[in-house]
Amino acid sequence: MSGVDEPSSAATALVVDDDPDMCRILELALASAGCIATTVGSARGAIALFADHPFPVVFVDARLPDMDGWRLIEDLRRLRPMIRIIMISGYYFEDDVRVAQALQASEIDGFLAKPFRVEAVVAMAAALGAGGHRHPIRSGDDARLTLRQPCCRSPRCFLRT
Amino acid sequence: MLLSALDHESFFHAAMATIPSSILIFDERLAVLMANRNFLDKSRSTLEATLGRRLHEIFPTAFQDTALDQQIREVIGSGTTLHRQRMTFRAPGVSLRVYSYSICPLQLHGGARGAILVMDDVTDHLRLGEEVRRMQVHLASIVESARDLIISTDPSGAIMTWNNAAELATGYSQNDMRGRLLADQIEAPQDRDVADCFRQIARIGDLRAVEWPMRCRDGQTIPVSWHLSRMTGTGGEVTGVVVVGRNLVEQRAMEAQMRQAEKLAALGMVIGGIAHEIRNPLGVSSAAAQLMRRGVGSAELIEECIGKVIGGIERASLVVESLLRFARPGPLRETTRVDVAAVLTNALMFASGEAAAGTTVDWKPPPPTRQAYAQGVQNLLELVIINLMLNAFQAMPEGGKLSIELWFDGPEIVIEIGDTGFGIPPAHVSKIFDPFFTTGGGKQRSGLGLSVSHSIVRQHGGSLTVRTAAREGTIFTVRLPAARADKRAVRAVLQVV
Repeated sequence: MSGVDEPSSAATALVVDDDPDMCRILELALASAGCIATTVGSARGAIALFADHPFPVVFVDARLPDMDGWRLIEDLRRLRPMIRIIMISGYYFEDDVRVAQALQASEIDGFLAKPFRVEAVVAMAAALGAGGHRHPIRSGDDARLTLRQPCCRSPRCFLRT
Repeated sequence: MLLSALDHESFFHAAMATIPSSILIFDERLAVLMANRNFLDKSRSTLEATLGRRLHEIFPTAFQDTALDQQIREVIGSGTTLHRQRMTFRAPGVSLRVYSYSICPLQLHGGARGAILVMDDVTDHLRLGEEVRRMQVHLASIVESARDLIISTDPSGAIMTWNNAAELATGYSQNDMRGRLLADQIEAPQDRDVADCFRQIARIGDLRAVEWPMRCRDGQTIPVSWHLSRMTGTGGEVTGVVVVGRNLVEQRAMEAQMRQAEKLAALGMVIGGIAHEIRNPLGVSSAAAQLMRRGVGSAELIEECIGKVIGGIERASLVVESLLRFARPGPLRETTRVDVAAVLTNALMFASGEAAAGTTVDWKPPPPTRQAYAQGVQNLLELVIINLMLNAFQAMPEGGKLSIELWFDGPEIVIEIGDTGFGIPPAHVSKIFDPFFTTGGGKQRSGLGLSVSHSIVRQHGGSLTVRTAAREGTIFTVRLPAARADKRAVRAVLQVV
């Protein structure tokens, strides 16, 4: 298991959130882990940016002014199937049926409920963006429980492996 | 004309023949000296068969239970008149007749004395009187048992009658109120409206459903909806005013309950969106604090993080505060100057969680120099706007544009909430303000939203109207009277129009 807090070189991420404060704080959080984040306030802006910069990791707010977060995720996956997507939301809870379904169906690779732990954000970015961090899975385990423990000790980290 | 110019005998006969009473003259032995035409007609007898007969011979046995002979003797003996006695005539097969009679002593020729008996059939008269009295009692019992306040006044507005319901509602009895001006029983400033109303009563026909708060004995006032109608005499002159009032206390309590239920329903509906509104700034604060703990580095960044911590908490607190204010059952009659732009902004915050993705909002709050204030209850006005916005969002499940406009039209503030949704079918337009009318398929909405909104706006002295076009959208227009210019909170009473 690689160190989650270790900055990985040239890691980049896209943050899509209509709250500028949230964008800024995620940018700072990711920067603390050596990840350079680009932020954008709308789904259309995200798609436009994505065309030129195929970010490996995208943090998507569930509620965006111009498009549902889930729709944006679908569109981004269509553009680049291997992309890692983390939904970050104040609307859903970790145990929302919709979120569980999305994790199960690989619509999203992780979910963070606001307010979140900074380590969880950093861990996710590192795990997905730097490519070294994998969560061990024990077969038959509930996805949530499996993902929770060994990754980054964050109760809010629900990385899908 | 001098009495001496009369021919007494011919006068006597003329009077006897024309007076519509039955008249008999008796001597001391109670023998008939004279009987007039009316008596002969009534008794179906002739003068010949009557003159010289004794009282008991000419009177039917049906009268015998009246001690008439005794009374005539007493009158003759005492020389004093017996006035307005009553006797009844009962005979098989004949309906009961009632006679009123008087007996007057007479001086006869040769020093003899006699008496004159004058009788009137008052049966019909009495029956009519009885009917009138029964009708009066009946009407009075209607007035007394009515649940509405029924008051009558003279043309100047002085109270003449005051029913039981008025006494129950106010604690004042009819005796307390008789002669007092109705206007003095109405709370200021509406008391002036009442006084004006009576000053112009000749010109006012019917005044319907005006709400004037009424003073009670215990110092409280109660909301009453009044109907005034003139009473006019045969010459068309105003003889008085009938004032019927409906005590609105219970209705108000029910409306308050409905509003509270609707507020909670609206809250339940928008709570998801609200959670988002609160958790977002909390997320910012929490993450900023965590970054500081991790040691973000430069003093500048720490300062920025501190700002984010505080800013986020303030934002979340504001949301929670407006939620509390909105959900609270506010006093119904305490109005304040309400900043309408703030109402629109708050309502948008509450309702926007229900907006479909792809919904844009066109809303530019007016500059501080053009602030619009309405006199009203803030959370009720918010409820109105939230309902209109929720309606708009529900009409646009695929997204669209919500437009919010706010402007002045003379003394009125006009708010328009427009959507680009599917419009309201013509068949539904007239029903949308009815309670429980909903096309939402029962999903979440109570069907009370628009009806409650309508009643709230009306109580603020405003109006709520709708324009709609199929597939183009719907615009709801709220008109509210602008608040008076003075800055301090004014205690006013919501008016029903």
